[in-house]
Amino acid sequence: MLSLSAVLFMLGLGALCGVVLSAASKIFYVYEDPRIAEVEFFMAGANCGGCGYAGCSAAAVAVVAGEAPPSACIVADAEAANNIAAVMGVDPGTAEPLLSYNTCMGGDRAPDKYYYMGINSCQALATLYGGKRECPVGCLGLGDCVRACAFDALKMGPHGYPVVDEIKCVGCGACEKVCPKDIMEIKTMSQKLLHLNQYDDRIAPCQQTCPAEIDIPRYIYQIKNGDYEGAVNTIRERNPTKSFAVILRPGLSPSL
Amino acid sequence: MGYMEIIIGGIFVNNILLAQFLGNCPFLGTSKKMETAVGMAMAVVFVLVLAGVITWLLYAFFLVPYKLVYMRTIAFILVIASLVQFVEMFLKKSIPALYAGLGIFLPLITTNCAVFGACILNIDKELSFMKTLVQSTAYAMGFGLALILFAGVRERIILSRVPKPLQDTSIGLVTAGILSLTFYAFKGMI
Repeated sequence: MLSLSAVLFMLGLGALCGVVLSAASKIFYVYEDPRIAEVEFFMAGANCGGCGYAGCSAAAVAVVAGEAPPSACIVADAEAANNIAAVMGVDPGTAEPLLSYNTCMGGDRAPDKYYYMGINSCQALATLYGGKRECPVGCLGLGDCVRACAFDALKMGPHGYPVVDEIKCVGCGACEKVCPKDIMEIKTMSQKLLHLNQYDDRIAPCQQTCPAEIDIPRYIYQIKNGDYEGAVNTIRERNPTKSFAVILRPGLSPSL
Repeated sequence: MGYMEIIIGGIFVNNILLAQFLGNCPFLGTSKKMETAVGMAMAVVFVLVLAGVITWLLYAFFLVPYKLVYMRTIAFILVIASLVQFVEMFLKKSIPALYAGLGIFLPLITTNCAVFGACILNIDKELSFMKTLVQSTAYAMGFGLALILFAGVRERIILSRVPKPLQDTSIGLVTAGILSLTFYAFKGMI
């Protein structure tokens, strides 16, 4: 009969704990804003932390408390932001999405200082004299950022530097964190356009010193391939007055 | 055994982390930042003292009279788990500030072997109720002391150049071993 008393004892103890806990959950019930659950429902639910909060539910609490905008979730689309704004009864606003931008267009063009045979990782390569390329600031090309991207938005391009798929990119910042050379930058389109070239930017000397910050390597590449319309647009893109004439004639070098 | 011996023994000589090696999971997991370590230490003090007292009462008034001592492991686990749940609900309602301060650490302690181990040690030494209370408090303070010391060391280690294969948890385990060796200096005090 020893086992029977043991079973009865555990049954009693379990029942007691259960009753006490269920009573406690009623007695110590804390009212929680139902909007928190509604807001969290519209978020992506990936708990990626890209918004800067500990997870989706922490972000939902911040949205309901008014500390974060309805578009706090960077993974969810504009429709989700509108739904969240409807739950909160506020204007969704026009938040600009963050995107990953690759700031190095050099890649394979830079010659190598030495032959590297080792772990296939930029982090490892960067510890050996800052990488194998002669260019001290450029992309190392081993693709740490490609492996870090959880959204399949980065591919290693044909010229030895990564290419961002702007449709898939959610701007979570995983590539920016993992790059030992700080090539990947997470910023909005406005931040990108308002950026003035800095001394340590990874750009060609002609572009570095151009007062209008025109993308000269692209301009020359387009002329070389006969894409004159594209070349004009490249000039117009950053030209402050928009009225410079570009005269292109076959057999003559282009002049401003 | 006097009260002073129990206190010194619980905090230093038989330190639950560095001499008895119980609760090493939060020891390594929550010691990367001083802020987290202090939160965890406070939660352990809170839960360990309560669990020590409740399990002693359960043992003395239910398990021994009904000759069910062999059931103590499963009974204690059930009681500690329910107790932590209850305390969490109680704090959320009554003392929201403390609840927010302890945060995630309170439910984490449900399965902490330092809490369960301390309760079993109290019973095995056949301590009186008051001595159980004192010993539980001493063990919890020893846990907090070791965790906060270790967090201080680890915060310095982050700033120093550690060889790549030894970084993070590996160097943490080595440090824990050295810290445990230093606590062996207290052996023989009692």
